[in-house]
Amino acid sequence: MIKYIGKRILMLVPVLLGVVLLVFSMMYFSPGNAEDYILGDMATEEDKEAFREEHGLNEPFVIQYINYVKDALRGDLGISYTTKQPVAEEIFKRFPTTFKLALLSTLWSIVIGITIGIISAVRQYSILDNVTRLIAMLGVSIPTFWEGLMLIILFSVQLALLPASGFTTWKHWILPSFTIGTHSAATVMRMMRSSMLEAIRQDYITTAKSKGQTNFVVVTKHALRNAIIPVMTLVGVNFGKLLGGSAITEIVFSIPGLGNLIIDGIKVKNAPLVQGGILVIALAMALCNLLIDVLYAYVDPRIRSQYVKPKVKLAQKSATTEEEK
Amino acid sequence: MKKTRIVSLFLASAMVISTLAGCGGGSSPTTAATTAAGETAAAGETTAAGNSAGTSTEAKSVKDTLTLAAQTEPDTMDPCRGNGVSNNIVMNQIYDGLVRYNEDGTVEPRLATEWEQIDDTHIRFKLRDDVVFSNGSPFTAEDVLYSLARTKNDSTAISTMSWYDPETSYAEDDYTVVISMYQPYAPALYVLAGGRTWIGDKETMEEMGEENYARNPVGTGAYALSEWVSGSSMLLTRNEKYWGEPAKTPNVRINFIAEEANRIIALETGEADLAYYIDGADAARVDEIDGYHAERGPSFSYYLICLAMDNEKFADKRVRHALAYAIDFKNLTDASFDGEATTLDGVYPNIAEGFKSEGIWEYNPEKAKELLAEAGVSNLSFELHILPGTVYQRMAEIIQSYWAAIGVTVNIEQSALATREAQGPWEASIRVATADEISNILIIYEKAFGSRLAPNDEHLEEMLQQLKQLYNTDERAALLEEIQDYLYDLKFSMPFAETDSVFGMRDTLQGFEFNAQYNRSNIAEWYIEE
Amino acid sequence: MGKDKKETSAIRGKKKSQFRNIMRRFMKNQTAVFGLVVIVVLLIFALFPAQLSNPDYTIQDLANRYAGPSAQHFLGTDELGRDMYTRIVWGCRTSLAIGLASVGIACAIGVTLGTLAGYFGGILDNVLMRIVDVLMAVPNLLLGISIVAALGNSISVLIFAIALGNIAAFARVTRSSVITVRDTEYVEAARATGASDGRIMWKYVLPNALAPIIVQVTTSLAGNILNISGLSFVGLGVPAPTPEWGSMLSNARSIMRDYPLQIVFPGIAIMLTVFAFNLFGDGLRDALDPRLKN
Repeated sequence: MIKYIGKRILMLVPVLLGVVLLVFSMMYFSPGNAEDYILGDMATEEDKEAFREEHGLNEPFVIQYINYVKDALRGDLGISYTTKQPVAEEIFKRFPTTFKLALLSTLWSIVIGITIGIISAVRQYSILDNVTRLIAMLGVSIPTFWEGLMLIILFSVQLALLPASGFTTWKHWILPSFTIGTHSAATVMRMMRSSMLEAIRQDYITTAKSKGQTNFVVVTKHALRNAIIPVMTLVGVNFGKLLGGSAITEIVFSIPGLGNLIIDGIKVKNAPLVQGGILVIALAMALCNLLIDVLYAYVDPRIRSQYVKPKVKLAQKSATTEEEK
Repeated sequence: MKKTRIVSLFLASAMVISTLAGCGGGSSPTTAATTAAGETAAAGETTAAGNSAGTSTEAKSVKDTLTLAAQTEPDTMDPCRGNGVSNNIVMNQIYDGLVRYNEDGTVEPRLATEWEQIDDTHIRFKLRDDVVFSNGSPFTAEDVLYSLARTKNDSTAISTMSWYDPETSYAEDDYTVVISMYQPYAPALYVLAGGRTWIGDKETMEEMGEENYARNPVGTGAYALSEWVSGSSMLLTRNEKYWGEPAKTPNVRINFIAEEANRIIALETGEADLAYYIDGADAARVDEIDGYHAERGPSFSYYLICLAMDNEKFADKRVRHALAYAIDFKNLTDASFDGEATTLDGVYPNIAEGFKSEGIWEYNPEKAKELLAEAGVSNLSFELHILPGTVYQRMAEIIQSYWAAIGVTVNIEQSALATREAQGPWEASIRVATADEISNILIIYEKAFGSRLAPNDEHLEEMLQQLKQLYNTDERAALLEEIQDYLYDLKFSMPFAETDSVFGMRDTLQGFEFNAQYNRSNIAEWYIEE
Repeated sequence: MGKDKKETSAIRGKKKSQFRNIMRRFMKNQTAVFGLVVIVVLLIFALFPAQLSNPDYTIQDLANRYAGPSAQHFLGTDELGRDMYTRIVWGCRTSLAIGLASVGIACAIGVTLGTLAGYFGGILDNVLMRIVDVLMAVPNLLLGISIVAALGNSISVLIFAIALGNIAAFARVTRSSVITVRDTEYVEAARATGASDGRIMWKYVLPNALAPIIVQVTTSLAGNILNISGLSFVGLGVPAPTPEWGSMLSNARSIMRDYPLQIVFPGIAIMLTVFAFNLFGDGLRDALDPRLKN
């Protein structure tokens, strides 16, 4: 197991190097110079040259990239052009907010998705099942920012119940996390439903039923226990995605999260910030996925045994998680 | 002290009339200068009101924390990096400059009690001797020289400080400093009034390092920064060691809410006591909120169409005039701002120094077509660059349709500044300008300032350089008038809309005084009785 | 040679009945058919916007802004007095065109990468999949925003930016599908006849690995239409005055409290389109692979 984890972590290295290279070259080769963005069009040529000197922007690409990676290994992600503060510090100030938002959204998605998923599976092909499936499909089809705006109009403007911006008190948390939560709830619900249906059809369920246990007990005790594992995997994957994917919702609700920070950075070509931010998101997502796989293996010994010779199986596994989406 | 007055008059120049008008309100350079020795100008101005309010508020108890909704988070609190309004909204509370610059062009004492122009290139400042920084460290002339030298060296401030000579500026004693200039520079006091020239503490900064200082600033202002939650808010706490009248409200929390709609909602839900940057169109809505109202007034921000001066397509003046005749500027302004902006009838904001009303350019598409034909131009087509933002998009689409009506095709290109700039100069663009001091307002026409208009007009350049070195009021006013006439006819720029500054605030907020520039508000005067 | 021909025609015959089966299964699924109908209607709007609405979507009426629905403008007018219905219809063309183009590009690149990786395996597989991992590791929207912010918001940049985020998904789906196919008997047989790798991939492997790819096309389309509107919403979308639903939302956002209809209509348009593609894709998945259906 440890060998497996070690291998997975080792495999992360080239991916992260690649992410840095991708973002780094995007920032480097795209037209537009950092000094123009940062100093604005009120700046003179003199101002700009001084800025380039100050930030070592006159070095060639490869040198800049190598320097960046070297520094990053020591935890130094550079200095933000705009705030002059260490990027690592900026990011870790914002990360908890994004993490909290992802966590709360995931909670919504679990509560909504699993409940509806179970009901839908148990009452397969009923009207309830069809309606909820349609709603779930609508849930993934609504643009989150639009849902956010509509919720603001309803709950903040019309009813004046909940604040529309910021992320300080629990009241602030409700609308944004619900907005994102409903979106991922739809996928959770679908997975829960199919996984539950599969579980219900297993022999041991029939056995349990024939033993005269009530439907409720069968569902909660036997079927759910087995059906929940793939759902939790999906929840974990969703959570990882939310760490980097809630940027627009953060904008709609003026939440000081990582996505908001990165988008602001992108707009002014604050290269160190964007590189650092995306690197941290990639790392967080990767670690999250790793954790899920490890837990998965731990929970299910059948899978654990597969990891003894992981080469092909591993690749297939990651492919299936993608399909499940 | 007389000399002080003279200097401020030099600067006030053409604004004499408005200064006199200001006397009626009780504030003028005279009162400022006379109270300067002991009291601060800002405090002096409101002493009567302040004292009575002060005593009554103690009895009634003042709301402990004022919550303000601002738009953008400051990027730094480094005293030499006050570039931009968002930084200075806060910096103006935690730092002091040598002097205070009023929007009518008058100058009041702040850390300096008085000053005299020794000659064209030297000013002597007498400094307050009773000032300590918020950490207890004493304020001296060394701090002034240190801070100004830092600004001079900062990459974002080189053009602002081009006149300042750090080598020959010196401290005569702990509380007297002589500022030296490379050449006469009329806006010097304006520059020294803060923004990029806030005074920080040399000793502390050397001890804790510049980066750390920028995040944990130590200033002499009425408030000190006690908490900074990145991306979210700042908490200012009353500086008990402040040299002037203590701030009325113990704590001020500034929340950064990027979306205007969300700032209004913050008022509606009672989360904020005051919101900056309300759109004119929403002022009425703020008035409808129970217990809140909007205060609005003219600002220095205006929108303009820029045509590149070095572009062949616009070389013929008739073409530029035709483009102007094709646009109904009144309609453009009304539709762009939903009727909440004023159509500009001159070349810069009408509250700025020496403004001359030139009249709104006539809307006459027939004449426009004639002029184009006369100039032998057909199938004119060029690019119109705009910055991100829906307001720009709206203006661009209206202008595009006006120009289409006279057979001119424009392609709208919307992108962040430098993306486009890297591909070479743009042909035409729509920009906003917010500067409040005349040389800063006109800087867009200077050669050193390349991108926006790509200026290449020798005569204009000459006039602009001359203006900077001119202290004399009459000559200055005459020159300013000449510049405006020249620009109006030149038509490489078409300023068209002036927007208001609008604050939304609680009705119970007291001590608020409207300021055209958000960052000049003196928050220390604000309080809410409970 | 002759044998080969006979064999392909046999396969073709088999395919025809397979296709009929799929169609039959698909048509039984009411929601999927509903999705298909909506898509067809949207396509008609996208192909003939000038006939179905006003041919000029830029006509302004500055005196008649934010008008409510009326006989003349039955969805009202926008902030410049332009007909909302016209702009929504033309916006359909914009969204579908960018969506289809980006999916097309992503599909072409992704399927190529995935087929190569899955078919050859080994080092090539490893290298290609690490590239895919890199693309996977950056959230789509952030990737899109960085590209558009860096290169400017022309339509072609937008298509590229959105396509880039999809390549990984196509590569993965294709690869896993190819792996299941590559060791089947008929591929072995083709190999035995000495067919070149290219021919085997094109003629035998890909056609049999197609089902999940087709499903991926519809899900990607839905996702991309959301992404386009997202980019426009952030202000990095389609340049003005081309109508686009996301930028209509973004324009109307500041006045949404006064004129909520301004954000309702474009929002519904996006939702309906994405919904239709999702329903269609779901139905297609079930029809193509009945084992997946519960």
